[in-house]
Amino acid sequence: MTPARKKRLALVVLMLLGVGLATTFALNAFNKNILYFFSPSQIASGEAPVDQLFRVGGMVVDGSVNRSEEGLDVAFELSDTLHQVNVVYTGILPDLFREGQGIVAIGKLDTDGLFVAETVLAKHDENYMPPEVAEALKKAGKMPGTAAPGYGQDSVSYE
Amino acid sequence: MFKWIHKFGSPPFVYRLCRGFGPWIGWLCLILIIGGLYLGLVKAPADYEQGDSYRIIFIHVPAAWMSMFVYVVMAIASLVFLVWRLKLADVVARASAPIGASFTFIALATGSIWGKPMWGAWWVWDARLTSELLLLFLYIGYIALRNAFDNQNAAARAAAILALVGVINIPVIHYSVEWWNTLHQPATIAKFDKPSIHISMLIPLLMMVLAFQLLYAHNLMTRIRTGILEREKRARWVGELLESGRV
Amino acid sequence: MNVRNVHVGWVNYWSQDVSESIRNFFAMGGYGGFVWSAYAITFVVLAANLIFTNMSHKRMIAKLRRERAIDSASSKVSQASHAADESTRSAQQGDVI
Repeated sequence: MTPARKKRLALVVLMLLGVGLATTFALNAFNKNILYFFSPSQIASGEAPVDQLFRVGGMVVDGSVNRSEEGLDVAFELSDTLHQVNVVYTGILPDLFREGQGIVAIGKLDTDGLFVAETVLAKHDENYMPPEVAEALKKAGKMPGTAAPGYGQDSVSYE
Repeated sequence: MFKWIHKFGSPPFVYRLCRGFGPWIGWLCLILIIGGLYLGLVKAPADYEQGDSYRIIFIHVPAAWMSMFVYVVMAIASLVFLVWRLKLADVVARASAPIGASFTFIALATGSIWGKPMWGAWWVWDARLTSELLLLFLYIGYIALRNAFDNQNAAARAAAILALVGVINIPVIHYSVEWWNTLHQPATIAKFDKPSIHISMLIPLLMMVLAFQLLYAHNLMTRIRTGILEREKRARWVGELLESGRV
Repeated sequence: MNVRNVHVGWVNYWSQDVSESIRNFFAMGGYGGFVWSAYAITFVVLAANLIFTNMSHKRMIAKLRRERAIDSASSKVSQASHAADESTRSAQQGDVI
């Protein structure tokens, strides 16, 4: 094979690899996104499947977070203001995880209606400001709307 | 008017322009980086939610903007090259690709480092992150395509077509946070009516954005000079330049 | 004596204060590892880009200079050999004559 042909062949292989990779990633993304999303209300009404991976989003209920004395077990309640779901998780939580924060949990519902999370993701908003300013805005009731926790769902605002 | 535009098609003129402005732009960029880093890392207060981790924004956002800006420059230059056969446009497109790839890589890497403590994941397959990764592949594909041909003109044309096809990805990246529900938060500054960032954080951010723009301009000017020398090496003015010592 | 004591005290206070603020600066509220690694990656990539660009420009200049040197040397050689040919030819002619 002449060097020129070798180069052209290498190019074709490279492009095929590139297209293949891109397709793989796209399909992968599609697959992950096709993970069903259920709100705590839908879970309460029995729409969510048992023992199947799906996502649930909501606000962490104030005062509901229980951390185990030892280990990384944590239990908390997620709310969409209408209904609540109990979640358990073992692992390191994102630093933005706190009461009142919008989060997304990926996991399965067990037969007792307990959501066993494999992953907990926190969504933050697009606002950046010093704590004093945030405090002042909150006092004045002018805090910009917080991030909707519904990653992968039509956005829901939790006012 | 067209005479004025014509000058930018003249290699000796563009070469001297780049040689004249390049160093000044480089120094200005350095000053802005030092000032921006000082204001951003030392002077700016911590964020009310994210603490000091948000300081990654001062490199993440400028790099992400530049990754798209450089691609748009590359696509426009490719279009000019394909339509008007202006060789300098090809030099610009070719010189932009490695810089754009670097900015894209930086945006992805710093975003990942920021996402771990805040979101709780190094990577999620959300639309913003996936389309930015595709941008990195477009840049790499462009560079690979250029190097795969023996014939430089054929390489230039094929790569220009790839750059133009790939430009569709740019609006996808930009609007991904609006079209899909991503984990990535929506734009902070693009909302011109009311940027939702405190002024003490906005100033260093804008300084870093300008610094990255100048860094691109500086780097591009040097690369354009290299590209012109290579393409015009038989020209008499290049010979005079080499002998004069002021290359 | 008194003055000296005051002076030492001030230095101690100052150095303690500064070292603590420097420590705080590098700690980044516990996010030091994340923040500094992000900045390190950025500046390594950008510096590498800059260095590579300048090096390849210098290499191009050196290459073109070399090519021109070879060109002019070979043209001188060809001129010289041309002249040599002329002289030998005339010499030969001279010989013949």
